[in-house]
Amino acid sequence: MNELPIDLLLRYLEGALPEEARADLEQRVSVSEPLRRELEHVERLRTLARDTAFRQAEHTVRPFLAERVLWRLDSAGRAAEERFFDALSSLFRRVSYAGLVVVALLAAYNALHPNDYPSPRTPLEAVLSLPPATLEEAYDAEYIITP
Amino acid sequence: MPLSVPPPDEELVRRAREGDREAFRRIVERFERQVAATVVGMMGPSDEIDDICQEVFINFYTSLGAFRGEAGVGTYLTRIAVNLSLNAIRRRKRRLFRFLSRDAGDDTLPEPPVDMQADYDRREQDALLHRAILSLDPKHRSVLVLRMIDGYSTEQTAEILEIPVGTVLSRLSRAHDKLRARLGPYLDERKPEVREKNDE
Repeated sequence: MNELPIDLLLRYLEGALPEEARADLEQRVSVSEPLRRELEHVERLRTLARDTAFRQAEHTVRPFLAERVLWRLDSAGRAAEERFFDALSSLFRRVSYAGLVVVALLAAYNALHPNDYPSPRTPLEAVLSLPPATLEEAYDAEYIITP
Repeated sequence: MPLSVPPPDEELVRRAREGDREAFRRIVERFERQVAATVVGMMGPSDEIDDICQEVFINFYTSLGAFRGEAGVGTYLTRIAVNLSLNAIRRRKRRLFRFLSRDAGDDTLPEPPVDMQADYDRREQDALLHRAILSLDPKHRSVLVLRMIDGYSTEQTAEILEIPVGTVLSRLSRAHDKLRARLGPYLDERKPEVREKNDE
């Protein structure tokens, strides 16, 4: 077999092979020109790929990455708070509209269904379904404490 | 004056989880170079790199609560970087496909040309290598980047990509064969550079 598994060669280059395996590989490489070339290829490719990736990374990523990440996290937090308050405000608006409708319906019901009170009521009393407030009824009220 | 020992990753994560922004900033600064190298390896030089790097750390921040520390912080960040890069590659392919589909009759993606006769100054060397790596299928590319550029072991690569070790080995072998076919003459010409420098 002329080729060695790429993973074996990489582990050799990384110094991650056990002593026995390393010695065996070195012995095989020393007597085989194709294996020596294979090892050289992998070494050059690895060096070139790492060198290029790290150099490009330094040029491609703009400075102050940490600051920009933190700024985006802060902005996202503020945006989430704003969304929450918007949702809350929208909910309260709906509740207040619903309340107004209920009040209007009750007022209309009261206006259309007058109770039989002996004395006439003002329009406000009719809408609010209040009994007429007359001087006579005030005197007749049960809660007046008599001496 | 005694030198202060930098806090371990686990300590920084614990503090960041408790809301310490300074601890999180130190995590970003500690791993930004590694994350950027992974993203560059996966994507090639691109305007999207910086955004993806930011997304990696934002993703990590939002998942701090779920991070149990079973994998190292670097491993966890690399996994996020690979996944976000793969998503970006898919988006890029869709955009390219939409663009190409306007041209009637041409439904194949163009193969990036590799001109072995060009002058190999550093810039061209980078471009040549990136074209060769970008010509790989993304699943082969991710294995190559993690194993060869980031220096993860085969087992760690399998863990990050959540695939069996055997799959890592076969994909690595396929990726290497393809790169060797494209870059073989170039690699023959070049002398090995100082390996120890990159191994630091």
